[in-house]
Amino acid sequence: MTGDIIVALVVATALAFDFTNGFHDTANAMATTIATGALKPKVAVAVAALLNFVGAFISLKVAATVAGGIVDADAITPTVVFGGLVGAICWNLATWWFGLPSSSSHALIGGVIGATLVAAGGSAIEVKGIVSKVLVPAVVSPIVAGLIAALGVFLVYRIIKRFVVERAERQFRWAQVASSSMVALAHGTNDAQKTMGVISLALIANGTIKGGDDFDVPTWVIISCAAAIALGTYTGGWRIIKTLGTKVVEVRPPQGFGSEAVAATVILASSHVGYPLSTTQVVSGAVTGSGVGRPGAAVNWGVAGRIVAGWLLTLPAAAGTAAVAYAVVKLFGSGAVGPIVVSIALAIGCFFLWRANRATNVEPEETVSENPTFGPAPTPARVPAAV
Amino acid sequence: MAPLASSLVDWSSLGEAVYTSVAVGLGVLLVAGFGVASSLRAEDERGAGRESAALTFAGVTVLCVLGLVGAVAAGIYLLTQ
Repeated sequence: MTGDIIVALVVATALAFDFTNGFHDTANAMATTIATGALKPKVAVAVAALLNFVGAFISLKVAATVAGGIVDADAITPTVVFGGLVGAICWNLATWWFGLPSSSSHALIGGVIGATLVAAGGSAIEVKGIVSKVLVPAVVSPIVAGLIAALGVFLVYRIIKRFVVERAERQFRWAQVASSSMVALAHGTNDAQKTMGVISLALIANGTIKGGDDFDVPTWVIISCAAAIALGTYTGGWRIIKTLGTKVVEVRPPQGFGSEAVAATVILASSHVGYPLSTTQVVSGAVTGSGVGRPGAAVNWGVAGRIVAGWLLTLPAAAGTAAVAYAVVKLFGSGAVGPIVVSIALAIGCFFLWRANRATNVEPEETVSENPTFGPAPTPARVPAAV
Repeated sequence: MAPLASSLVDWSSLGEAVYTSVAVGLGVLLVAGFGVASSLRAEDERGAGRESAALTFAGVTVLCVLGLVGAVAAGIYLLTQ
C-alpha cells in the first residue's frame, strides 16, 4: 500500500515535471517564429503542442534507467526519483520566472544526482559519466551550433544581398515554420520519453509492471506523458519566449530559419552518434550565433551571459534542491508521509508562484519583435518582463 | 592530462557529430538561400518578360525546395530510429 502511494506520487510529480518541461521549452521551437511574426503567438504554441504530442509517439525506445551511467543504477529508488523530480521542477520554475532558457534534462539529471548523493553517498555518483554525457556536450553543443548558425546566416545574407533585404527576408517565412516544427517534433520525441522512462522505472521498482527484455511502456503512460508535455507547451512559457525571441538579438526570418534548422541538425546528428543534447542549449547557441552572422545585428551579450550563468547553475541548484527534498522525505521515515508532505509543499509553492505570475505576467503579444517582418507591429508592452 | 581526456570523452563520436552537423547544417542553409535567391530572380525575369530565364530559375527553386523537403524527411526518419 505504501509503495503504491509513493509510486502514485512519483507518477503525478513526473507528469508535473513533464508539464513544466513543455512550457519551459516552448521557446526552443517557436520563439524565433513568433518574434518575426511568421506565426501568431497562440497559433505557434498550438502547432508546437501538437507536434510535441505527435513526437511522443514517434519512437518508444525508452531508456531503461534514469540518468543511466551518471549514478549507480542500484541506488535509484522511487523516493530518489521523487526527490530528483522535485529538484528539477523547482529549478524549471525558478528559471522560467526569470525568463531564462535552461535545460530541463540537466535539471532532471542534477536532481537525481542530488537525491542519490543524500541517499547513497558520493560513491554512487559516476563522475566519468557526468563529464562525458553531460558536461562535455553542454560545453561543445551550443558553441558548435552558434558557429554553424553564424557562418550559415552570414552566407545566406551574402547570397540574397543583390535583392532588397526585406523582400528576400519575407521569402523565408514557411522555411522558418518548417524548421521550428522540426525542433518541436524532436523535442516531443526526446523529452516526453524521459518522463516515460521515469514513470516506467517507478512502476517496475514497485512490481506494478515487469521489467526485462520484453518490457513494454504501458499505453496510459505514453498517452499521459504526451498529453502533459503538449499541454505544457500550449500553455506557453511566454517569459522565456520573450527572452529568446526578442532580448538576445533582433531576429529576422533568415536568422530564425537558420538557427532552428541548425539546432535540428545538431540535435539529430548528435543523437544519431549517441550524444544526447539539451535542445535549449543548442537553440540558444544557434540564436546567438545567427545574430553574430547577420550583418548589422547586435547581440545583447549581457542577456546571453545571464543565460549561460543559468546553465552553469542548473546542475548544482537542481541537485541541492533535490537533496533537501530527499532529506525532508527521509525525516518522516520510509513511509509515504514524507513524499506526501513534500508534494503538498510543492503544490503550495506552485500556487503562490501562479498568483505572483498573474501580477507580472508576460502577454503573448509582448513576445513579438517590435518590428516584425510579418503582420502588424504589436501593441506596446504592458508590464516590464523578466531578464 | 591527454590520456585522462581521451578516457572521459569519446572523441571519434564527438567529431562525427560535429562534422555531420557542420556539413548538413550549412548545406541546408545554403540550399534555402539559393532557393530564395532563385525564386526572386524568377519573379524579376518574369517581370522583365524573359520567360525562359524565369523558367530556369523557377526550376532551380523547385530543386531547392525538394532538397529541403528531403532534409525534413531524413530528419523524421532519424527521429524514428
